[in-house]
Amino acid sequence: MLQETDCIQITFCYERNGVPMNSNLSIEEIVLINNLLYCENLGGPRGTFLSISHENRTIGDYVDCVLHYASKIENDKEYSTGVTGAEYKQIMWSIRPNQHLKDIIILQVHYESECAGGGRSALLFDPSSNEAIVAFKGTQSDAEWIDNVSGLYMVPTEFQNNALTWFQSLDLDSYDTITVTGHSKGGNKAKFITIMDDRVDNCYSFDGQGFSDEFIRKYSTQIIKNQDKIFNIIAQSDFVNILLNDVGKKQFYLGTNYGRLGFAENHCANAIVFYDDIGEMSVWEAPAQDKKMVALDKMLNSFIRSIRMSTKEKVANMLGSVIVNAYSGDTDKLVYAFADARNADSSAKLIAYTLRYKIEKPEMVESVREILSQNGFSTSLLGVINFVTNYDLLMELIGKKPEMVLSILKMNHANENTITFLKKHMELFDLVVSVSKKMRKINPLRFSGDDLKAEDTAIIINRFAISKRTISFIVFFLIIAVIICIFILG
Amino acid sequence: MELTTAEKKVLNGISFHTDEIEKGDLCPEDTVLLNEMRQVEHYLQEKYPSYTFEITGCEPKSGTTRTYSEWYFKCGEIERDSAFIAMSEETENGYAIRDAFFGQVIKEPIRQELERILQTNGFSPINIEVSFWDYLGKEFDEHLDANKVLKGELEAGNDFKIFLDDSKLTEKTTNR
Repeated sequence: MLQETDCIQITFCYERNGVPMNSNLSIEEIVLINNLLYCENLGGPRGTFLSISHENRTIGDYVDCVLHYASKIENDKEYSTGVTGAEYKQIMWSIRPNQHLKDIIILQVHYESECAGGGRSALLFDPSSNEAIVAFKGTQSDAEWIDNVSGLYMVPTEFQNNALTWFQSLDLDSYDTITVTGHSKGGNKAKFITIMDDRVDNCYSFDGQGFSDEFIRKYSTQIIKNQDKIFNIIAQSDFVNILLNDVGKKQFYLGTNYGRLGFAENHCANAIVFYDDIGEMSVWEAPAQDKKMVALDKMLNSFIRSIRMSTKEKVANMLGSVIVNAYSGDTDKLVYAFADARNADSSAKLIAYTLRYKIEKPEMVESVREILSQNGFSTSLLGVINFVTNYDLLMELIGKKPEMVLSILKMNHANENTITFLKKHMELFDLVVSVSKKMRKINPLRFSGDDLKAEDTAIIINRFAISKRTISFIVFFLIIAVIICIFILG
Repeated sequence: MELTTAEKKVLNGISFHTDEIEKGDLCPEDTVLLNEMRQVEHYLQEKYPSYTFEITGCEPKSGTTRTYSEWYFKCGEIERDSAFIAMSEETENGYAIRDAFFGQVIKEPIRQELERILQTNGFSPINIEVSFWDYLGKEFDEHLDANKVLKGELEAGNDFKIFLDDSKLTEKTTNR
């Protein structure tokens, strides 16, 4: 429910360092374009927005075409994750009176041809302002998370590089303005391109994840140069944008939650869209990010920093696997993902870290409890967490004997749900022992949870930025050169 | 299990099990995906024997609302930035596979025929774009009759865009 005190209606002008971003698109239009990217088979194959057959048509042509076949769109059917036919019709109706958006031409639709995870994107053209709009779709399939988490250990990722290669293959010289946008993984690609290619004028990343510490250090000078062009549109309770370090200005927006997907729905591209009585859409600025997400963001950052580079890939795969199973809302699948032999060591690291973190920052538990229950998970998981936290030494000693643990739990009048949960998931005991062993070696306050800023990794002299990484290399080679000189002269 | 480098690359793009894929020690879910990928590749080679294909990616149905997976592929004989797409849907007997590559095979003869018709009627098109909405399955091969598709005798979801120089059109003929 919207409350007047919680929000202010947005204005259409956004600034970077006091200078308005020069795109002719409003935030609402950017959000609508990103919703269109997900349209698939609305009333038939012509209802797929990112189809090569739509090239050289306008957004208006597409909307008219979809509404022409509106009777074939099933209201209750989900046409993309979390978005039903009825919701897509609302989106189409809200575009219909917007002549500016309707006149935008779909110049080129691209299907990724090199990168294994697929992906679609489009080059759009706004003739009213001679503006090129390059838009990247997130994939929404489980496979999306493979790339989302690969940003933890790859700099840059294959998806990012391929998006840049395609972007640079486009002939953009004749446009006055170049704008890039995308939702989720598409938002991350848009930010990456803006950092790497100075020609981009504006970037609107919608719920896109950030970049690793290694990335920020490696590209600090490029980031400093281009970060003012990046505007992050973020749903207040979105959980993808919190991954890794943000780049650019952030604005949070109030989210709607229709309840079908529970917490997962906060990441849907229409989560921040509101309609008035006549179907006109708007988005509403939120005063701040959801506190749960702030807490999770900080914990994840400090956890990732605690992992050695050599094991980051394994941890990333575990995280992705857990998130994909968490999406499903199935407690058994989630437990399996944690206990799976391939993930067990990394899961133990994450859980041990979370438990130690919980001792230092107990508010985390409430955040996790709310997220789990909103997603339909059994919160008995948290009962187990509490037990391990309180009896970690005991668990390390007797955890391999599940029956004994269960007897002790009963003697201590532990919650019946926790006991039933553990009985059902005996595979958790090995994991719990591993967690208990790791717990005492972890100092959760050792690593900062704050986002790393490019400015922190570079030295700025007279507007010129030099990354500390480059300086380290220069100093290293200077020392080597001095040693060689001394050796030769000596 | 023996996997080619290309197969490993595609699987790595859609599965978290990097080490197991490298060793060829696939889990049941990845084995299913590999089997599906091989069937799509086999289907393409069998349907279009004059062409060579490489599957480059996949958007699996898992985690989406789709009932089919989309397989992205390149053709050795055609230079194109964008991938082609095939859809595979699980059936009782395996997979029902359909693809959009047929459009590449018949679009040039259709474009030429449209150009001929237009010129015969006094129109000189600036450009003609030929595309199709439908994905066709194994009931058609690479000898699909372009003329029958053009005339609508074979339903392929024809979508032809004809670009004319409007300065040469009279007011009457510009009315649609």
